[in-house]
Amino acid sequence: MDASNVAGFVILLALALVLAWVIQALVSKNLEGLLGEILKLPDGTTFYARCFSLGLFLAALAGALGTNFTLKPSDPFMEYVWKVAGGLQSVCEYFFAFLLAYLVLVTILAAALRAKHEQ
Amino acid sequence: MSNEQYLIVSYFLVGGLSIVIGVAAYAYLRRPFEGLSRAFPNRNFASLLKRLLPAGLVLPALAGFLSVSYQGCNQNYASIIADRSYLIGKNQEQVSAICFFLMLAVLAWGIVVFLSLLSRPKGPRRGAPQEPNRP
Repeated sequence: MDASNVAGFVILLALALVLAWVIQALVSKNLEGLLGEILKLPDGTTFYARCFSLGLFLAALAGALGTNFTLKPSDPFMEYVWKVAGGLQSVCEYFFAFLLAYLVLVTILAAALRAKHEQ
Repeated sequence: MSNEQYLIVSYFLVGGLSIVIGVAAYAYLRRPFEGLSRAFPNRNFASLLKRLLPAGLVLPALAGFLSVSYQGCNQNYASIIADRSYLIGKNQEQVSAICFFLMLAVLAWGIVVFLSLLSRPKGPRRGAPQEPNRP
């Protein structure tokens, strides 16, 4: 693996981790508020919030590490850019799958526990 | 280092890494899970889940590592070790599969906790002061 491939891989990994951090920073406060409201258990809130951050970073790593950089040093710059873009597409697909599953879980959790509290 | 030596070393290193990642995920989730398990309806069920949590995170990570095969169509051992970039790509694929399987395991544990909380009986929790019996 030559230096250009390593650089492309590191850039992709950094972008994926930054994206995960941005998503977490955007939703963590509201998510913890929602979880605290529906679970009424501080440990439950911590558990689900940690599941969210862990799953998000695992999705970022799974997407970024699944991309294999095997370009030649003589390849043009845009080949590297397209390779990073392809890797980012994979990262976004993993994010989408995780967020969708987590959102469905939290929605069912909220609906079921709210109905239970109201009984 | 020859390609064959690289294959042997990297295979066992990534296998060890899968266990380390699973244990790290367990260490991250262990404390809130233990606190949460006190709210579960049955003490035996809570302790069963507490004991299953490490296995339920380490085994999926290991399964992710083992799910990647080096042998594709018409590939023998000699052709596998001929290309170093193929070996590096397979290592990346293994770590990616570890992360993906662990992500699925974390979601599955979220569902298990949800179902456990749903089966929790309504009323004062164990250890909480109880209301006096009414006539």
